[in-house]
Amino acid sequence: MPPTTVSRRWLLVVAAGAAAAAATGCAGTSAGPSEQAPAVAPGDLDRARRAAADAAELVAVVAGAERRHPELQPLLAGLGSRHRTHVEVFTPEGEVVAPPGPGRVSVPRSRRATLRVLRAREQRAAAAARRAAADAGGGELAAALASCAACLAQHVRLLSAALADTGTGRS
Amino acid sequence: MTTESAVEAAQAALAAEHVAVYGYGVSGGVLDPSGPDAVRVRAAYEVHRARRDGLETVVRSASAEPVPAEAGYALDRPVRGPAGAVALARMIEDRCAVTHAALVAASTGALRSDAVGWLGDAATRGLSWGAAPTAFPGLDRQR
Repeated sequence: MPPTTVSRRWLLVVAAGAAAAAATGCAGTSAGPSEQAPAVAPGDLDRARRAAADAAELVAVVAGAERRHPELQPLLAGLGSRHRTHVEVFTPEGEVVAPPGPGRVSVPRSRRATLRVLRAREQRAAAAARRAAADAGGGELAAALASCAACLAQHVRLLSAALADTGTGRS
Repeated sequence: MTTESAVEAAQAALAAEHVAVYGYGVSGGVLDPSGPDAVRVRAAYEVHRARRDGLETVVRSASAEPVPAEAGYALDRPVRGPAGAVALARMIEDRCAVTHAALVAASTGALRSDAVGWLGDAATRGLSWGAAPTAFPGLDRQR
């Protein structure tokens, strides 16, 4: 495998958060951009790759859902955009995360079933990101993964609300 | 072992929780006590009070003195009605998300796992108060 340049994107994301914390008088993080990318803790590059791959899969699933159910586009456009941001942040520089092939994305005909499938996928990805955050060797990556998990938890809420809005089971 | 930076981050999170407890008290005071928002405010108040107590324990266990609550806090704007109460709740959760993200970065082990959960809670609770979803809650906070 060719040598990989360590992505500093997640460091930049966390540095922006640290600046926000400082702006509100909330001290307490040593996270911030350094002149040189720090050494990556063992396993962290793989954790970032997995997060990027999970996000790429969600991008594909959401895009498939949008194609099949255009009426969901107002909800799904935001989800897809945030997933793409996760792909960008967690993909190590010099690497490409391949989206899953078309055959791997199956979207139900029913709108409610589609929302349920999406919600389950977001839940699984959120749980994986939480576990990765807990296990990460570097604090900056841990914070980025935890924040990604929080975003996915927001998606679960949004999809639950959409399911509630779709009423009693008709699709 | 809790590092100095983890204690510092826990103190910042504790300070945010003090504001949350105070702020939800203010919010509850302007809402119809029988309304759904008041019920949610009371639930949030209890969550933040428990979290405040837990963070005080964390800080004490590191042989540090927990940052105390102030007698009152200057809020960004007066809270005069339901809309103001909801806006204050959004601000509270946003600030808690920022400090919890910082605590995740600075801590390890059980404290980090707790902070990961708290960050998720702040993000979803903020959403329930009308905050816009973001790709990185607590890190790309709304300004």
